[in-house]
Amino acid sequence: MTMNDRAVSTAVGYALALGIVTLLTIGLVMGFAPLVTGQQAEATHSTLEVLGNDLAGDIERVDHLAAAAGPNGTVVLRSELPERVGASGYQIEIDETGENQRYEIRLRSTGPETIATVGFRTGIEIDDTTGTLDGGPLEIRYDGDRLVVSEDA
Amino acid sequence: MADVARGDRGQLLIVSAIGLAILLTALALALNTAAYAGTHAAASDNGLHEQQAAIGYQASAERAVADLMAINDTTESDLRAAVEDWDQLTGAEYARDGAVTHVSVTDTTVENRIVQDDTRNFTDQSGADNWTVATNATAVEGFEMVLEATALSSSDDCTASGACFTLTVEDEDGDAWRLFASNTSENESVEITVETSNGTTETCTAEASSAPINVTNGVFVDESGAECSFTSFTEDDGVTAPYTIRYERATNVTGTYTLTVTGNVVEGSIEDDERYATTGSPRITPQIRAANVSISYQSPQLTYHGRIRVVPGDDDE
Repeated sequence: MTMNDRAVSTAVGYALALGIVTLLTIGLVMGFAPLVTGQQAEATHSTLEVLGNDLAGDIERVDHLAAAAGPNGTVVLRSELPERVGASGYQIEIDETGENQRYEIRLRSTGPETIATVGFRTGIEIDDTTGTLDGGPLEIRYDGDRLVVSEDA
Repeated sequence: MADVARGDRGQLLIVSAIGLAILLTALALALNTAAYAGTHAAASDNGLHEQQAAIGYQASAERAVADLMAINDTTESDLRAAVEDWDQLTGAEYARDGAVTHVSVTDTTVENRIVQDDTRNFTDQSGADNWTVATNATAVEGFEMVLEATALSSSDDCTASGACFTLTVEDEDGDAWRLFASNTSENESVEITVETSNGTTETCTAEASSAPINVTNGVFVDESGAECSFTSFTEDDGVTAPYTIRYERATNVTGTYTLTVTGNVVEGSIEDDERYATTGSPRITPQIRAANVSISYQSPQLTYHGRIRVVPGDDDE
């Protein structure tokens, strides 16, 4: 009788331990999942912000160089941006936000869904037919009249 | 039975250890994106370096051209050769840093002083009496002459095809401003007639053996020292720069003149141009006042072409 009970207790103990560990693991994953996703979105957002500032800096650099080059000068700068941020690619848009060449760069990532915006100002107008660019190396060009941002071929 | 149960407990440990390992790996992977953002921020100073290098190169090229202009200030070809030498020297240095640089002079602004300070007729150094003093003069800063009465024509026919000494200032469209000089009086006198591009004429007379004329300001001084003003070619709206300045029938006049014009007046070098010399009368002294310079800086990241104007002594930094 006692011998039989001890055998059962081993099986129960084993099943219980397995159940508790499984519950604990699921609990941990469930608990951490939002935190991790949040962390990932945060990291992607801050990366996009860094890239936006990089691009804004490069555009301003071309703007300054164009001023030094004079009306018949040309300036072409390759801006080395990565193709992907986190797990996915991203899109870049440049919009005019106000008078006197005030612009805003909007960087949008799809996974995780997040948008970063960076404002800046130039002395020379940016071509407004740029549209949406895919993230990756860009070419910023001054052709004697305005600044043109395009995907680097 | 007890042996089997002991073996089962080991499995439990392995299963929970594997579970924990998977959990930690997943966490590490998820947090990795944060590390990625950090590494990118550190690699973003390239553009700034390129900008400074290009601007630095342009500044040193500008200084060099200004310095070279101080040494090679008479002819454009000398300046070009000097800038080319500098370009090759510095180009080798920049090539070591992975950049291709080039600087060259595209064109220059030359100021020429043409002087005849011995009293003689107005022919050129080869003796030609119909000759072009300056072509493509973008500006005339000063033009003064002193005419002697003795050699002037006594003809009444002071027209473009007449007999008097004629100074013609013509623009590219063929519109012309003319100044004629004659002496129709029995005594010594200097008479000038100015014909503007629309055909109106003005005359000034001095009963003297010589009379000074400021052609650019339109002022003639008579024997009593009184000023007689006339329409200068700079005030003649029909005649616009660049000008061609010509002397016709230059043997019918004697005197001196000083003329300062901007433009490439000398054909080739002064030695090859039979109209002038560096000494005697008339002589010419060209001086380069400004140069347009083309500058390029090329690196894998940046292509920069600048066009600047270099004026020595003009510190616009």
